[in-house]
Amino acid sequence: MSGHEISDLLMRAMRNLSGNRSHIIRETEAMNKHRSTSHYIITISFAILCGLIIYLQRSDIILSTFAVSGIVFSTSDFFMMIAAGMCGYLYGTITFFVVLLTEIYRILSANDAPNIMMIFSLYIYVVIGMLTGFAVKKLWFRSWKRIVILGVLLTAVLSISWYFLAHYLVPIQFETYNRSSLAELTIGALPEVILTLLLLKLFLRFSPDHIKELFGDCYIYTRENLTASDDIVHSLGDKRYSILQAVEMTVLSITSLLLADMQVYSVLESLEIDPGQVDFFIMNLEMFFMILCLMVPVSILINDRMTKITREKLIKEQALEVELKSAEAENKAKSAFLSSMSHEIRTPINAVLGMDEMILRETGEDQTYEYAESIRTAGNTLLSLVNDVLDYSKIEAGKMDIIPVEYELSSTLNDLVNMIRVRAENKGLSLSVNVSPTLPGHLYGDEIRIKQIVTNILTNAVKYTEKGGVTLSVDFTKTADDEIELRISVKDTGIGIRKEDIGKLFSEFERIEEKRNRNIEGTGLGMSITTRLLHMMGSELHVDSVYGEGSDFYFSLKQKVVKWEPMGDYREALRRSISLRKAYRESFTAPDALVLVVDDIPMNLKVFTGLLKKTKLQFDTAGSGLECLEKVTKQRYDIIFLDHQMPEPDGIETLHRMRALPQNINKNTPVIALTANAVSGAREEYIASGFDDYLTKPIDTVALERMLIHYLPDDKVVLSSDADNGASTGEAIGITDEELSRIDGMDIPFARMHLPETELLMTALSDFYQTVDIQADKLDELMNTLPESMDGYRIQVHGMKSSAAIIGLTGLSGMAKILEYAARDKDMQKISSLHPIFMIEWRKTKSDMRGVPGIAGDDDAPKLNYNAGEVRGLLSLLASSMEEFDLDRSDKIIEKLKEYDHPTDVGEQMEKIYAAVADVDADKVKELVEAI
Amino acid sequence: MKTILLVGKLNDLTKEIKNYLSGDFDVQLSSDNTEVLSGMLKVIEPDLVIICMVGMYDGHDAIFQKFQLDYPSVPVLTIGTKDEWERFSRYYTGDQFTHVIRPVKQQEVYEKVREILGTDDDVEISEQKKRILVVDDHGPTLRNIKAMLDDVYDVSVAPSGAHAMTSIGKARPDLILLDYEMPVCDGKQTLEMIRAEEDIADIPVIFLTSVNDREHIEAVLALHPSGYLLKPPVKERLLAEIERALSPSS
Repeated sequence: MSGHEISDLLMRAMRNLSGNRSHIIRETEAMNKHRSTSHYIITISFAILCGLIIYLQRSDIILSTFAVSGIVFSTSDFFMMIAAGMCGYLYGTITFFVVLLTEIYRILSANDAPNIMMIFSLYIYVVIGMLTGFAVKKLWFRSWKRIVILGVLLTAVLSISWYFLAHYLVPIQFETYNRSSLAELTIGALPEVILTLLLLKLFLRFSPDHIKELFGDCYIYTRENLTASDDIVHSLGDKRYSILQAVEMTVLSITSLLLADMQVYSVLESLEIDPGQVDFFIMNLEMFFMILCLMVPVSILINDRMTKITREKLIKEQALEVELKSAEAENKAKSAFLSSMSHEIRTPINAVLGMDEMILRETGEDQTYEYAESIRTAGNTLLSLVNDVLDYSKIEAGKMDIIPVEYELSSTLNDLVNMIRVRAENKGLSLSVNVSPTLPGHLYGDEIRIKQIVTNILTNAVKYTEKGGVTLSVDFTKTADDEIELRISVKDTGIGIRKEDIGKLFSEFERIEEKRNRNIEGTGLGMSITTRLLHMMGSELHVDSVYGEGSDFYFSLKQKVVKWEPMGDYREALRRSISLRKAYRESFTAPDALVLVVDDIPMNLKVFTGLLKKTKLQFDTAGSGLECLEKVTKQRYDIIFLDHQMPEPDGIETLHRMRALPQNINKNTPVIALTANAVSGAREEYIASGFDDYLTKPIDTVALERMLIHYLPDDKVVLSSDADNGASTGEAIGITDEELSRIDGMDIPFARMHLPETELLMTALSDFYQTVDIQADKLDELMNTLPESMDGYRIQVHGMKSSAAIIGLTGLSGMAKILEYAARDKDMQKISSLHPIFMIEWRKTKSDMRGVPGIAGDDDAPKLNYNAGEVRGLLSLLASSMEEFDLDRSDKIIEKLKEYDHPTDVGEQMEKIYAAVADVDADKVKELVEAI
Repeated sequence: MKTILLVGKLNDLTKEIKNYLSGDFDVQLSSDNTEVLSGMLKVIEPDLVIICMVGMYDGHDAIFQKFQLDYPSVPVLTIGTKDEWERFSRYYTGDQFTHVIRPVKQQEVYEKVREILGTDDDVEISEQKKRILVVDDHGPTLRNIKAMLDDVYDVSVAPSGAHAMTSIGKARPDLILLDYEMPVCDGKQTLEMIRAEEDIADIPVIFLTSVNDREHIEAVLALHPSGYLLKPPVKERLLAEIERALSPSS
């Protein structure tokens, strides 16, 4: 049996015995814990001491036996059993070796020189030592029943062995035993056995733990280990493999001896010597016991060491194996978990974003609006992160499919450009788009994934580019009659990638130059998803990059061509699509339409109905599929929105039952699935399940409204372009959002929120227009006298901040805020760098506003002839009105003044006066009036 | 408050008359130049015109003609010496005109005015619109806020704390909207000034500020204003806040 096989056997035994690795590990821990140096010293000393005592006993028959009323009681085995019991079978072998060596020494030095082979009789010590040792280790001393069994076993071994020895092997040696019947020998052995067991039991039961810990295997009887679960204690005491090994080695040795004997026998036969003269039987028994004496202790020692090594290795291996398995399981669990999280995460985000949308629409407070805006931004970021993770897990789990559909390339590109334009603009980057106009307009491929890929690359480009710009180029080559190779490239002037980092780019969760880019948000999954998606489409992503100069990401994709008709000028297509989209954005009202919304989460119902508040739709809601089934029998609805993920029955089942329900009066009503689970191909799936359409959550209001316009009966929908929209946006004085949008950077909804009536808004705009220069001049003046005028500067710019904010010039007001803070912090450097830019932007609004009718005043009105006297009268009245801060009268005067056709020089002064009045600056007005 | 247009040269007499009447009337001075006057009349709709004849010469007859022709319903009170009256009386006739002979006591002029305009009963009615004083150093903001409130309240404005105090002294507002950040005398100091004067200390004050540091907010709130709003204000919020502050319970 080779070492390998042995260890293999051992390993198997180990596995069977211990069952699981935690026991082994804990056992090892327990063993190591208790094997202190003092433990070894005490145990080994005790073992040697016992050996020496036995030697002394054996050298004098008086010491080893005593006789009471004719029965001879042996005592020589007592110390062997105690040694093995206390020190463990392993250290018991030390006692045995001491006895063996001293015995050999005694025999060799004795005058009568008895046969050296007599040593084999020591095998009795081996057997009783091992028995006691194993019994201790196997926790037999915890129960009296087992102690009795052990006692019987030991007595039997001792009496039978002595009987056997006395009568068959070395009769001469045992002449001293007058009576050597089995019964006598049994009685003779009993006292020492009983004494041994009692002493051991008492020691193991009553001695303090710290003493037990000093001796061999006694530590397993300590309180700590005894109160531990049986499993551990059993595994602690389990040494069966050692016995197996010892027995195995013994059997092996005997077999080889017998084989040798047979060979000798045949040799003797061949030499024509009578083998009968040689007492093979006796010879072999002697040899057997000799082997027992030598092999068993040795094998025990070797075994113990081997076991230890093997065990450690085994533990490591098993730990690795378990870890590997658990890692695999964890990975599987992770994918499953992530997929299931799809719904779980998106649902609350849906609620948050939806409620936030309502706050944005309804709040009257600008601070709240800002907070809500932040929530929306953060929420959308969170959503995109979740989507990334989901996509990744889907790819991992092999659940991501490429689903080719017919698509319009121009619309795809539009979406991409629209998406990235905002981001690029926000960062001040230029975005150029080079699209070959000869590109076929209709292609066949997985548009969603292509969009996702390009979006990822574009987003990355913008993320990592601080100045310069991003270029998106799309080109193609014809590869077959109905196929092209679409080439898409995204070039940026960003930070670039080091050569050695390019590999990292594609590994998940890793981000290049983590430190430098730590403020850039993202999961680090984007590029990994991109490359995997491309891989799934049979393509790959190429990167050319120069560190510090920029990168060029490009790939080509084979796409089937549906129509070869060229797409034409890309920008034209873009413009078309934008104007189309604008039309879509027009909201509508449908006060007569009745809609049923089914969702088990009340918050979602609230969000849904809240989002559509302005449409004046009539809502009915149901909190479960069953409730929905009940409602459809009673009321006719114009459209039903049905959540997919509901507890029994879910959306699909509800729909099927609804369709089968005979009393259902809504059989022809369009049913739209609502789902937070935006899996690719979901649309097809839902339509196959019988839905008319589907909508992903969080609900995109535009998509929802578009859907409603599409599915609601035409006669119930009033599009806002011909509804009351006009009046509310100030048709009366001819101002529309479109016209207002000529003012660059004006957040029209923000302005309208603060100044809900158009008249108010117009007055504010006109006031702002009038004072643009005055305010700017004031600030410039203060700038010139900085830093002495720091406080004045701060207050002036603070005022400018407010007046820009109220008319929705949020960017300008933001800049003013920065300047205000810089002034507060006396940060001259910041002020001097930002001030000129702010001034340019600020003054620029004037020219923007001139393009909006109604702000700069109506130049076309017929003019009165200039009358110096009248004007003087008005002006003096103006001055006194301003002195009293009677703005109503002042404004009236201004109105009158504007009716005159002033000569140029006066006109210029007049403009200044108007501005000063708009600015409520009485002193300035007075000064100007006096000048005229 | 009735409006009186006081026409004449800027001299001690006109000043005295103006000062005497200003407490009860809105007196607007106008030069005796016909064109200037007609310019002013484009804006002002006086309930009464007082003409001081001091220093007038024949060319001024146009003034009388103007009132006679263009504003026949506006009563005109002329003040002048006997000579002056005789010189000009030929230019105007009828009920529209009344004359007092100088020298005259201010009290007499006042009584005459009262006689023509009648008692000021309706004044009380028009005063029912609550007065609100908006104090802000930034013109456009003043205008924005005024525009928001004009429909509901009688809004006066002041571009500084000092002006605010003058305005309060002239006509006690029912509520003050006070900007926190102002040069020289900021909102805090202004409020302290208001609170220091016993007869105006109880006027509710709402702070308007675009400073939203915790520190500032705490500082503002420590002054126990009746309200607190962030700029730029939203119309409805502003109105609601004012309403709340004005309601008797608060």
